[in-house]
Amino acid sequence: MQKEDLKETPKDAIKRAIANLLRLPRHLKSSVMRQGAKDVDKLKSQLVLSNIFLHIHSIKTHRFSLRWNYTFGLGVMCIGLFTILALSGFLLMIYYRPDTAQAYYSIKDLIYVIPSGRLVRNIHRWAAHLMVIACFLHMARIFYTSSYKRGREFNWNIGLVLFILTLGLGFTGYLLPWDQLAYWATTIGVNVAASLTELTDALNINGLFDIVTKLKHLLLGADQIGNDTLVRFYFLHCILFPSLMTLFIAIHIWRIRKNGGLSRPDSIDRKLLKGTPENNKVNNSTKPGLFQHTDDSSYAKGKDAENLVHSIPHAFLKEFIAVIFILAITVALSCLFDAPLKEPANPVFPENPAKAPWYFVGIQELVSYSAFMGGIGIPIIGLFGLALIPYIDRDKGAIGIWFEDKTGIRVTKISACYAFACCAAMLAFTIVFGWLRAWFPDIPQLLIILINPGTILVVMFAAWSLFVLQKYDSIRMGAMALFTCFFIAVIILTYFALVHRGPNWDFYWWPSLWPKH
Amino acid sequence: MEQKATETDQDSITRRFFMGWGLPVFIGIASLAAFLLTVLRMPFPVLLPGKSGRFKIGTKADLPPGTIKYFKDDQVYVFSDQDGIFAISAVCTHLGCIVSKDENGFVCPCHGSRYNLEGKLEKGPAPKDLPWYSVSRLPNNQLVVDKKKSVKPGIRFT
Repeated sequence: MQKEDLKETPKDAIKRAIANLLRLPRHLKSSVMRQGAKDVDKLKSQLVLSNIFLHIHSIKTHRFSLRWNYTFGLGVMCIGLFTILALSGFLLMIYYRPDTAQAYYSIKDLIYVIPSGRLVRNIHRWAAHLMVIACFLHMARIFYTSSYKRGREFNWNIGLVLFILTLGLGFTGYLLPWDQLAYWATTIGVNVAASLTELTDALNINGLFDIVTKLKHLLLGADQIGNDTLVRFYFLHCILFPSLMTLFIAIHIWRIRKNGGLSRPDSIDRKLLKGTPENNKVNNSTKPGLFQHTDDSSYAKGKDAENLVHSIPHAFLKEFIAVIFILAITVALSCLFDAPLKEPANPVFPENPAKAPWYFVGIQELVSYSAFMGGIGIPIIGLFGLALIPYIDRDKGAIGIWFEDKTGIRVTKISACYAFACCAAMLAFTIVFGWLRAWFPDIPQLLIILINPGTILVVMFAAWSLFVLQKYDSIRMGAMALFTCFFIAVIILTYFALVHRGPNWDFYWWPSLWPKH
Repeated sequence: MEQKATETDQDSITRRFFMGWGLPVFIGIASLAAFLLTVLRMPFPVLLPGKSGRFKIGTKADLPPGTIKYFKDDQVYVFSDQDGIFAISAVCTHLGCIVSKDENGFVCPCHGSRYNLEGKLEKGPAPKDLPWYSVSRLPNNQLVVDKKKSVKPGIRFT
């Protein structure tokens, strides 16, 4: 049939071709968009559903999820920063040379020769700093709104993995410029990891744990930091960790989606939704998602459908604003403050003081009491504690509400004051009176590992948490007390080590008081 | 009755099933494990680049009693006194920073560990004393320090 048609009107093909050419824009658009614009709502739904990048969102988003003062956009900012880091990292990779003889000078080139090199390097540096902060605050947001409950337990731990990967990326990236700062911060970091031998030595079982040397060789590719280390860190920083990060981000977001979007309270007060975009299509709105386009009445009920709004544009707009906001901050900081570059790495002469990157100086303060306890013991206790939170605190509490209720606010405030007092007292005591070895020079190392200002703080926090748990008969309150204590301790220790520790790790009121030499 | 049924279920691993599934799966897992173990050896370095740890410090005549010499590239202090010659590591036992010497001993810039002039830990977070290294003499009278061999503090080369 068709063949005959073509034969009968052979000249028609040209006409049709021309007509198609004229209609090209329309056809092009429909081939990209795949559906017409007959029904705007349907279009919005189809767009989200059929686009691989957009479909990580559901078609509709709950109005509660759009409140700034619930999420502060922190999760989206983390993703935005990771994207900024990836893109600026690509640009830096073009010029960087992972070789101890050349690395430092390729960074110099980036700063002084390559067009925009300085700005892109600054952006990479600042985005990395901001990402650590954003992840940290995002974790606190999830914790204080109980968003790790009811099916989100595992996702909390995926988030923990992402946090560790962020720190790992920071740590491996720190070595790459191969300046004094890089070399000695990494030396300290690697020796902290190797300080397991401190425990095995103290217990006299070091023969059993040759694994520490093996792991050190695996990480460094040698006995000490050198060319092999630089290549390995380059690989970790540019390939392994970013790939893992992408993978775990995908899992993280996918699970949020499968949990029905962001956490929210079971019953939402109308006042809370003030200021969020309203759903004005009442006739459609009683059905969630794609069901509104069907006659099917078997859709899932109880989804609070009248408070769902189309993700296009509302959710996308908010996310766009969050990303642009953090990009603006990154660029502004990059224009104002240059990323540091010190003298080339000198393995025979350490910086004084040799400080780790700022997100590790809190740990470095603990390390200055005992390398094993501060660098391995307490961080592992902390991470285990964080990982276990959703499995221990299974109370059916209020989800999606900051600090749960008035008691929660009170517990958080008191715990913050308690943690502040403990840290300040402990630090002051250690500075004024010294610690065990200053009084008993021949004390066995094992005692110092077990009893030092770091472990005493941990015990104080644990005791406080148990007290709160008992008093309010609520696991959630106990967890809140413990989390707040650690949160405050991290901030105080980081601040203290950053500002008040000078040459020889001595106490100074201000860096300008450091002795000049 | 029920028990009997389950028993026959358990017995139903036939020779055909075992040869057809069990054996291939076992061989597959075993070869995968062997393959992984082989491949995963690769990132562990066999040759450790860097120095051998042995270096010459001159003859005994070069080091009269009262000499203190710092070998910067090997991070070792060599002392010579009335009782003999000895070598002390300048790498802090805490986290591997390089200690510097003052009149009372050694002090680490990273976390303030202090050692006396014989390397004994006096203060700070370091877990142990600075190690002493063996000093020996080559046939041509040159003295050699070996960083791979530590000796008990107090043992001097005479």
